[in-house]
Amino acid sequence: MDFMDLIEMPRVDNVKVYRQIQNYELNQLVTQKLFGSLNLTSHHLIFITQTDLQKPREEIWIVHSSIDSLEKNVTEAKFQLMIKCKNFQIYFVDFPTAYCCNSIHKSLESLSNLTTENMKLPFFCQTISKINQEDWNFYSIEKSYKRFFPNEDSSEWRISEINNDFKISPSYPKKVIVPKNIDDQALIKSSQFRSMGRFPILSYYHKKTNSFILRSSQPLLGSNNKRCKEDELILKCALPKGKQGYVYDLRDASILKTAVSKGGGYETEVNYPLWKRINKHMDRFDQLHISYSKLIDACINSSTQFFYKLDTSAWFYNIRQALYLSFLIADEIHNKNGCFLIHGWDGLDNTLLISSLAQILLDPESRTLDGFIDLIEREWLHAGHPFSKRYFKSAFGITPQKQEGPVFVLFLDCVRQLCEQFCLSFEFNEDFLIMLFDNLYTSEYGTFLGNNQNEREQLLVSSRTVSLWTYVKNEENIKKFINPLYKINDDVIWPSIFTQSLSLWSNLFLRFQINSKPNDEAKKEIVKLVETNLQVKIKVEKLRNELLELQKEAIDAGVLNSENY
Amino acid sequence: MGLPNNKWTMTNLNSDYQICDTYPNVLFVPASVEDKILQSSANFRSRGRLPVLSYLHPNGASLTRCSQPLSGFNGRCDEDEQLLQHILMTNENSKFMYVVDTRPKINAMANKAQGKGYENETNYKNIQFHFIGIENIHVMRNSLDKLVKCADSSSNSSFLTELEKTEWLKHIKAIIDTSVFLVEAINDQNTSVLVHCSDGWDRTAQTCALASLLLDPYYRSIHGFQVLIEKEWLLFGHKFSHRCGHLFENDKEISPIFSQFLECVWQLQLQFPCAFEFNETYLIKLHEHVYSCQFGTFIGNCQKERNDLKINELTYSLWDYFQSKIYDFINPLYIPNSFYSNSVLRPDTRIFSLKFWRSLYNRFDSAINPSEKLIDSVSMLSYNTSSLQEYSKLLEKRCAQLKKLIQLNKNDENVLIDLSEDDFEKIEISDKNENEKKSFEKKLTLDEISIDFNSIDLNWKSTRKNCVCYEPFDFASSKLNCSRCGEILCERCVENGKYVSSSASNKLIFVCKNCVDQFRL
Repeated sequence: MDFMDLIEMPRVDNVKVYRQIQNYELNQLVTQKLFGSLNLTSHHLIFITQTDLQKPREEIWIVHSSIDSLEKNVTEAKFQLMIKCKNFQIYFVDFPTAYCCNSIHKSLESLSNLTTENMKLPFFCQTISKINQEDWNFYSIEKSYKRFFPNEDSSEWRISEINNDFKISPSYPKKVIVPKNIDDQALIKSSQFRSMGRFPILSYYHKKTNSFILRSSQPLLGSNNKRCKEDELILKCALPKGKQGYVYDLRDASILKTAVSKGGGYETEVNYPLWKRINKHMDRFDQLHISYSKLIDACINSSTQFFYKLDTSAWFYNIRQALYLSFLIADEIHNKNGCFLIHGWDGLDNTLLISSLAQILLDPESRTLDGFIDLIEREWLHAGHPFSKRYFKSAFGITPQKQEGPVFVLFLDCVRQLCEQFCLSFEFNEDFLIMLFDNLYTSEYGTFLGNNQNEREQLLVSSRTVSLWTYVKNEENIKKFINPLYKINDDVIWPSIFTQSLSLWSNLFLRFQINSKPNDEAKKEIVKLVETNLQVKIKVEKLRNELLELQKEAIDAGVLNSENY
Repeated sequence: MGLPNNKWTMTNLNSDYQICDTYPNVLFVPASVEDKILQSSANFRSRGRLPVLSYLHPNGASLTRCSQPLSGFNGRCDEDEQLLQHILMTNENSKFMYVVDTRPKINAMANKAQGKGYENETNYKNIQFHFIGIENIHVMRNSLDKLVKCADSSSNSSFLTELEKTEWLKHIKAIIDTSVFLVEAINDQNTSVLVHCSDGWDRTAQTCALASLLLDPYYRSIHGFQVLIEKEWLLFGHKFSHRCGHLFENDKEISPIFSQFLECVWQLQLQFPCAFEFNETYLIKLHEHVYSCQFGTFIGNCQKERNDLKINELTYSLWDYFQSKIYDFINPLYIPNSFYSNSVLRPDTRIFSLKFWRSLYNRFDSAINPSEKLIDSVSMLSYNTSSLQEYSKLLEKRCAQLKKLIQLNKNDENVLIDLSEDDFEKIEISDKNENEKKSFEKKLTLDEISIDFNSIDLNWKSTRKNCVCYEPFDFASSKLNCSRCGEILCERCVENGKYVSSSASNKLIFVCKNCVDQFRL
């Protein structure tokens, strides 16, 4: 299939585009009307305003994959297309005839719903910057292992390459960390007992207390109550003396029966005597998608009962629940003797959410820019969170397969809540999180392509596309993402999870509705203050040295004496 | 405001509070109007609160305020109508003026039955009459009751729905919306506005004060804000004693009218973080002391009462106290000359832009408030910068002195090998600055230099930390760093320490008790 087959009319003239823009002077949203031509290319819809003596030419570029939903409104007098984008921007386009309206609509429907990964934008954007292998290899399991276990010899854990060809578990990375005493054969047995072959692996090791987080998928008990000795052994071996193991099952206890009847299940007390099972409910990704749609709907149609709508969207419930569960885990790990195995159904979504949030609370490293990127690589990309499926559509759309679910968006929002509550403890800022959000849905970079490492390797992502981290690490860009007030905080952070303590992410969810200028001004002022402070410190440092030298000189010359002398 | 001018004049008609006991003794009225008219207008207005000037815009449009007319179903007053004409005439830029009744229409109608009511558009020439619909004190009181219950964290599960039900933010929105209406009339349409509600001391005070704040950057400074409160609230007789329940009198009179005004200002601060000289703490402390009765400023219901009580002689003023703690109240992000601090503020009043004021309503609930407060660290940063700047001046001075000393020694090498007392004298004379002479004579010894050298800590402790006395901070409590050791101190410990004047200039620098003891300052 070629792009050109999908484009019937590459250009339509006499088109009107309406969008809402901010009038900064009046601090109001106004509708902007533009008149010009609309052009379709393989990846972009480009609107170019008619040249006019008074006004400079304006261009609007919309990437096809950023289109979330299209609504056609064709009446006798009006041929209109409403374009809702994944970043919540909305355009209205008036066409001169019904024919072009239909034609463009058809083309855009196909172009914005391309499922072939190979045809996606990053593969056509190698020129934005050089492909840097270092950025693709930013994360390595060896580095993590070193960080968790500085002294390898005394460690009870090892790196296994059992999944090197992605056969055992297609959604796992090649290498995983497992208990040292468990051999690869046992891992294979355990993988057969776990959904999608996701046997228990180490996710985080808390050096300060020698407690840890494991994660996996649900065990495949089924209705005839199967058991797997090797799987039981893994959990038994992993748990050191004096520690209490907890299986954190992110499903409500009431649905476990259904899970069993479908061939899934849970860790029974009889077979896993050292581990205590705790069921904590988290909304599944498909429910979360509904919550997300309601949230965005409340933000866009906010006139009446805004707070009520916000509440019924359950978005804040989900944030609270996620922060609360990670809080409990962090508390057990840091203050008590708990060790954890986290899983829900397949261990692809909420499992990763809770485990990565707990790490952000526990581990100061993950609150640095590099550490956070490492966390995303380790706990989301390498852990097999299905990015391609989950973020195919955003709040306005959904595919018939219903695989969408903004789990990572919820993660970003939770992190932002933490950034707000601990404004000094995070090295990166809100803009960094918003940038991640934008690249999640549509990107020129290959980082979020595919559903797991296996797919990424097959697509040759690392040699055919640029990594998002290449963009982030660029000297000019990185400045935008650094929190000027960052001071390393070696402690565990304990967030507040009352609804009052949480806030709506206005700079993201209301980004096209509010005027961000006054706040940008404040941000710039903070940067300025920090810079002035630094300058003065440097100056003082210099003067101190100068004074010390002069003092020495003066003493040598005998012109300066101590009073007591 | 450039008053009095040829359009507006000061009248002493109320010098003994004879025409209106809840107004100040000095009023500004149109210059062209006769006392007789004012007198009759006062008689026609509820409690004698006749239309007088609140704010005069440079474009000639004025903001005037009064109480409701005693019109009943068809009463009218010729003089009152004339007074409005005079007010209209002061502004050459507009052929008409607005009369804004801030009450919901149904409330105003109900008042008619009691012989009160609102202006009849047909009787007054060239006025446009508007109802806006801010609810009355009883509705506000009930709403606050609900809000406080809802803020209580124990009943937290559906906080947002509960918040919606309190309608509190809806009321806040109505007040800001009304003020925006006044601003647009005065600033954009060059049209004067007369504002009233029932008695013109609650909703009228809220909207007039807020409109002034939006219109004029002066009122966004610490001093200007104080002037604004003095003028619109204290002088024009907002009944603080009744509304805040200072004395146990009548529950039905209590209502959070002034608190709502403070909250509106807070909402503006949130939207325009660089436009105000004062910070959130200022508002919270103001809120505290309006109720605390620790200072005389907000005692009584009007100027007359305060005069009768001899408040000025018998009590301390809150403003003096605030002045002594000014470092707590400075907004470190204030940019005096930016676009937003120089121009008319146009707040976004869509409901999603209005927030729940957590740091006020959950002020003492430390589990709810964030443990790291952005504004604290920014304040500390700017305080640190200014201290270091002082310090660098001191270092520069010491360097210069040493250089001179060494230089002098070299030049006179042949004559003088040892420096005796006389030589100090010599150097002194060569110094131009009188101050420097002194310090030079006294201080230039090794010990003194080393004391100077260590007079400041380069890396102050982060505001994340608690005070050394482990007293927990509430969300509005002040934090200060000792400039010498860099430790964080709470308000109480600050009082044990002292402010010493910097050796380089007369600026005051804070030093904690430990350092005072240690360095015998």
